[in-house]
Amino acid sequence: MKKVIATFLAGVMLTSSLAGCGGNNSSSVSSGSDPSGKQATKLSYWYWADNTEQSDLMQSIVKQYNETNDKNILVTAEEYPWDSGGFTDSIFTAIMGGGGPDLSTFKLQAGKNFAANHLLADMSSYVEAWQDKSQINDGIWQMMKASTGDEKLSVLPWTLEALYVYYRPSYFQKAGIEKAPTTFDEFLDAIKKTTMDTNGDGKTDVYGLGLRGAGGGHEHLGSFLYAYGANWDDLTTPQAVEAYNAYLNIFKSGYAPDSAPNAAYAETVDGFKSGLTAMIIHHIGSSAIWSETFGDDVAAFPVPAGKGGQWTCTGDTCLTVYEQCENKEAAFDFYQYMTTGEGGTTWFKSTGKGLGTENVVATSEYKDNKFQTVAAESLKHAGVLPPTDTLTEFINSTWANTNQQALLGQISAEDALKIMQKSLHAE
Amino acid sequence: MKVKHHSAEAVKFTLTLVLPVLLFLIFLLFPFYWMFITSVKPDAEIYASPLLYWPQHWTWMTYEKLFGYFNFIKYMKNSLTVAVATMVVSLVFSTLAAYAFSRFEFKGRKFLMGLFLSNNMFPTVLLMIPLYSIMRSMNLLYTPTGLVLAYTTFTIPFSVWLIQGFIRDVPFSLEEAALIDGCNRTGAFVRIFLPILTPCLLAAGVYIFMQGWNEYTLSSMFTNPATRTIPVALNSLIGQLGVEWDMLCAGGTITVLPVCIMFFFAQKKLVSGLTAGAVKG
Repeated sequence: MKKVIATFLAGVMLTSSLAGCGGNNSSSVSSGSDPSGKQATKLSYWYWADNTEQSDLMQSIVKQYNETNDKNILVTAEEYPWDSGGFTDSIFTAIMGGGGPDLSTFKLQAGKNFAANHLLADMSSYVEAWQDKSQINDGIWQMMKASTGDEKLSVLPWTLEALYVYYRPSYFQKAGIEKAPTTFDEFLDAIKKTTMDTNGDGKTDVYGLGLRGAGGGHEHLGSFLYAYGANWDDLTTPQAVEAYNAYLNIFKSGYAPDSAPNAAYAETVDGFKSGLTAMIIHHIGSSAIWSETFGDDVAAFPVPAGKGGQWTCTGDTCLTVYEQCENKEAAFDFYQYMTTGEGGTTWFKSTGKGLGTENVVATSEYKDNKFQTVAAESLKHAGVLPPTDTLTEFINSTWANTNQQALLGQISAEDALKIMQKSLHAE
Repeated sequence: MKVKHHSAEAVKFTLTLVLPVLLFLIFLLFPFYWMFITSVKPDAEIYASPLLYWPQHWTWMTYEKLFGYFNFIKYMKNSLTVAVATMVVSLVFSTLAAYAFSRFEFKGRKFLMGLFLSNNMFPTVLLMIPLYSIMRSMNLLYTPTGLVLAYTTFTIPFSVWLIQGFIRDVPFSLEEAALIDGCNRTGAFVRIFLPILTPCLLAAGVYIFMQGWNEYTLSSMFTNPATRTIPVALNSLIGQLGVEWDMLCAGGTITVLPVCIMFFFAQKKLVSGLTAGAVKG
């Protein structure tokens, strides 16, 4: 009897003692004292990291900012998992629940939802007064404004990663291709030619393109649409159908691995890394992986222009300041540090990602990386999908389901595009 | 003739039972095997084509990195604290509640039992914002206690139903005998009832522990880097640009071990506990 009561009491004591552990609700700007007794402005900053190295890098950058900024701003950086985009959902939940950060890393595609709920701060006045504003080209600022649908500048660019094509020169040589494609037709021809049976067993062992049929693959389709004179606004035009058929034929003709309908980023990376595919469409973020894996046997070219035009999708990691932030000026100071300041330089040196600002271009890492030129060239034709109300649903759900059916021949290109049009534009 | 008969029996036994069970076991265990060998393969072999079903070069570097650089022990401690505390709190309250629901007739008993079930009808994501808000106002956000409280919202209702089903099968005459012999109600509950309840409590305890150990959604919201649990920590190895397969698999291998060990020691009582109360006469 005594034993049981003692066990119960121990359990209760354990749980009550836990209440004191680790509790630190750092959700909004507050003022406190630094060791010198001076009032410090505290900012809560949430971010995601793509790998463990980036976790440490971000922490060291923030630490350096806290130690060097002369405005007595103290940023607390907290990492949250990317969770396939669930990161922004976590922030949304936290803010709606009365907590959340003052600023965070952000994706353009979430802009409209956050803006519609009045969660984002309009930073236009700070940007207008910023002396380094012109280092970031106008097209990028316009893209940021367009992302929220209210023409306010609430999402601030941090790193943009336009997509381009990585290829294996040794495979091109084997396939008899002498130079990188400069037109869309040459690109399609290269996909066909680099699909090879290298060991003569009658089976294809190198595929031309690591086609991304599932998550994220819609970004690649965009290049096809514009090359054939279509665009994201109307996916039911004859040009859009022609473009989509060209896209589908890559798989149907056997120029992409059998796994293409289910392939997202990881699968296409694995395919290219293992030598299964000759080309992959991706951005500067993976350049270090390829250089490390293949040495000199990897090169790149921008997604070429077709008869209708040239377009490539840009991946983005932005920064945003939330309306609940009480000291937006301090938040913008941190943003400056993260782009044209030392933080931006350090981040670029380690990850290869930035906005091509002066501090970045001046680094030896930029000059020595052969992919940076292709990335900068690609950024000229880069864009994002229109920020419709249903964009997130289109990306997360409709795209993969519909495209998979089209790739497997279960529905026609016309029908698939109609479904996508309806989903993307909420018709 | 007898030998022939025996060998035919053996073949039949092998074909109808041993072989299917073996195939099923391979199907069941292969993901764990693959997870383990991925964790001990060097990077080049993880991405090798064709696939390597057995590592050519074993490396334990990933585990060194996991416990050193990644500080996996911290996440294990956090998970263990939360899972054990959830188990203790849930079992104490569920047992008392289930006893009351089974042994006492009172107004609204059925309604309250139904109410317990209704909690599980809501998707967790729907509860996120209200729970976050409550945790924040109670200053429990980012504490293990907050997470324990959140978990008990769905472990207690399930456990109450599980335990009360078991209790209803235990004859009331046992307690009556204890009462006649001089026990008070508490004494009868502790001395007579709890020992009988052991298999059921074990089953409920293992279930609750696993919930606390594996849960992701609530943990991702109610913890910060200091109090993060294993599932959230492992998810941080899946970035936008790739997956750290070696670390993820090493972490996964370590994570399943406590659950496997628990099942190993508790399996007999677990089965009897889970099936008890399932059949009513």
